[in-house]
Amino acid sequence: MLRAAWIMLCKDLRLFLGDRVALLLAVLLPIVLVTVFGTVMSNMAGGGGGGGMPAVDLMLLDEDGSDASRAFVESLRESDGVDLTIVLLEKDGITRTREDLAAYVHDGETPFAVRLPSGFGEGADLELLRDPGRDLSQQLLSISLVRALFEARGEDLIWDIQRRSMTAAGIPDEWMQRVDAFTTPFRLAMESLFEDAEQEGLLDDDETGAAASDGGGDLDFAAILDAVLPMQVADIAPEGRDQNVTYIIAQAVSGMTVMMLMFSLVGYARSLLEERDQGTLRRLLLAPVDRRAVLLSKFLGTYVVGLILTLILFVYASLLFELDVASHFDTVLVISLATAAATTGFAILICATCNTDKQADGLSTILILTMSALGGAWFPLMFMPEFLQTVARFTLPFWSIDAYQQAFWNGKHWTDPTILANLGVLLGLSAALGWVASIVYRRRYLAG
Amino acid sequence: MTDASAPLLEVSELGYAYGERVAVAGLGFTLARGEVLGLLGPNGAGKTTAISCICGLLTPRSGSLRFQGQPFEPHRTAADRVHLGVVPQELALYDGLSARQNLRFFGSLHGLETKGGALDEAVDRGLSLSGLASRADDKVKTFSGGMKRRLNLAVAMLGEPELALLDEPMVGVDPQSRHHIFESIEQLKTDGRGMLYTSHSMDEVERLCDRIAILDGGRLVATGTADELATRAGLDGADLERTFLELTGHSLRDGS
Repeated sequence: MLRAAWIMLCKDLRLFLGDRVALLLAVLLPIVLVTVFGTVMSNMAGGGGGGGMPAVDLMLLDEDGSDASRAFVESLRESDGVDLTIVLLEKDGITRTREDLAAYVHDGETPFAVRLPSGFGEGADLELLRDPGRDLSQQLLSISLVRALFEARGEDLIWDIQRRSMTAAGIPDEWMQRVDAFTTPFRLAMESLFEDAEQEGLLDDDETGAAASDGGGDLDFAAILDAVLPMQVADIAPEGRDQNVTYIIAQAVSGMTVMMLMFSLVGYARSLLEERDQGTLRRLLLAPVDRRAVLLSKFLGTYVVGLILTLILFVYASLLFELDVASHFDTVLVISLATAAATTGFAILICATCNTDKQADGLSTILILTMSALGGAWFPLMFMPEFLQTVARFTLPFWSIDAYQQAFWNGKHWTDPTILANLGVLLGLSAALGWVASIVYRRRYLAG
Repeated sequence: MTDASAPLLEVSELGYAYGERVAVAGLGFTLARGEVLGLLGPNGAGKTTAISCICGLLTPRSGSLRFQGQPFEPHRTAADRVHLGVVPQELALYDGLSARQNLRFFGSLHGLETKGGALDEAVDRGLSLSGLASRADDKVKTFSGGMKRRLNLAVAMLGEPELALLDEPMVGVDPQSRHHIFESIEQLKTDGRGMLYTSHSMDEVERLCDRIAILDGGRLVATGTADELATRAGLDGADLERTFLELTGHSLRDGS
């Protein structure tokens, strides 16, 4: 049987390699998708791919013209999270007003606009005009706005926030004078303390020290939060993790690779249906060889193509996204061996079950897209509700992507029990799917 | 041990049904070496089903097959399929491979070894039989229908089988290819091969077949030479088409 399967496998590969267009598409399409998804994900995540957080469009009208408002504008200009457009207060003899800003938002020229009114430097509130419903963008924008407010108002903002929070908690306005009476001396004492410390050169130059020291130019809002919140932050990363790679990139590359592998292998395994339609399957079954060799040859051919394709995609990803495949090569190879086996079982079962090419296309598309979405090929499972994370475990891509993530992100070797468990599931899936496929094949083609 | 005095193929009470629909029932005939037996019948008569049972693509529900006096079970035993060469109705070839590559591939499956030159010899013989030696390395997708039909026949004969089953092997071919295939079959007959030949063309059957078996509704209606069948139909001297219509009737058959 093995000799016959080998002869058929060589024939299938010869046909596969002989169709240059199909071959090009089989390799090129996964590469294009890995590129697109990897790039999109890396930009969303702010790492590796050269991009930062997605910038939010913002128009700004400065009616105040004070040092504080200029500091506010400068902070926003430097923010990666904001794509700032300044609306000049005076242009061609025309004075811009709040109504002009509102019109820009209304007409869709910008989703957000900020007006710094006269008196902003003395504590007047800024006004945010927004196109409602863009919750995520507004949350991103809020980070930049709060940071800019710190830049503009310094420590005044802290006292202002304190006052506002007490008002919000129900403290009557008239009582606020009592609050001011005992906080003002403390505030003045603190300012004096920092001035003395600065003169004596006691303040650190690092981000946290600078943030706490002058309340002005070098404020880092994230650093302030890290410093004042009652928690200790420690970065723990496996040795050797490539700092250019984010969790999302590793996820995107693994996910797209597994998804495209399933599509490509169903395409290759479809030769079983093509052989039946063009009559060559009958001729193979009439040959004086074990008839199981036909299915075995399809399984082996699909597996070989799958393994080669997987390795091509990871090598490509290592070049494009600096994914560190080389350091984990043996682990990536072992996971790819198991992934290709499971995916081959899936592809062969689809093609053994379906009656026509169209059935195979339709069924495989539905199953692959559903399993990919649920299994974490499109976005990390952490973004999904808990019950979907449980459902994910019933999909093939989950076990494969999780194994690759264990390697790329957690730096685990394939001998680690966690990865071994994933490999076990993948090989088990391969055996189960292949076994069912062989039963279906025997019933459909050999029972007579 | 084979029995040299026994018929090449002996079919007894062969039966097959697709679910409840009986396709072949009680079919029996013999085929001698060097004989061509024509299997004639209207659409749905059971010709292709009978051939599929004989070559082992279908498992007979009843009856038995004997080859040179020995039980013959090609549906179960790969070794029994060594004796068979089947020319299917469809052009069962790989368009993406050349004529030579097709012949080499199917030859390898028939156990012909590269070592010793057996495979090369068989491939050359196939190219000669199909008249495609000058196009041996061209891909099959560049061939005409007639060339493909000739190659289809040559592939079936690669293993030099004693028994050939030809299921409408000349559908849609030009006169030149038809003539070539006629000559090839006559040569195979001279070489001593037994052949079971199905066709809707009365001309082909009259020219090639020594005896004719007429099937209708899955059952054998009559067997004999063309003249014997005409006599049996009460149409002495009539051509085969008139005889066939007399024996099977004029009503349309849609294989139901």
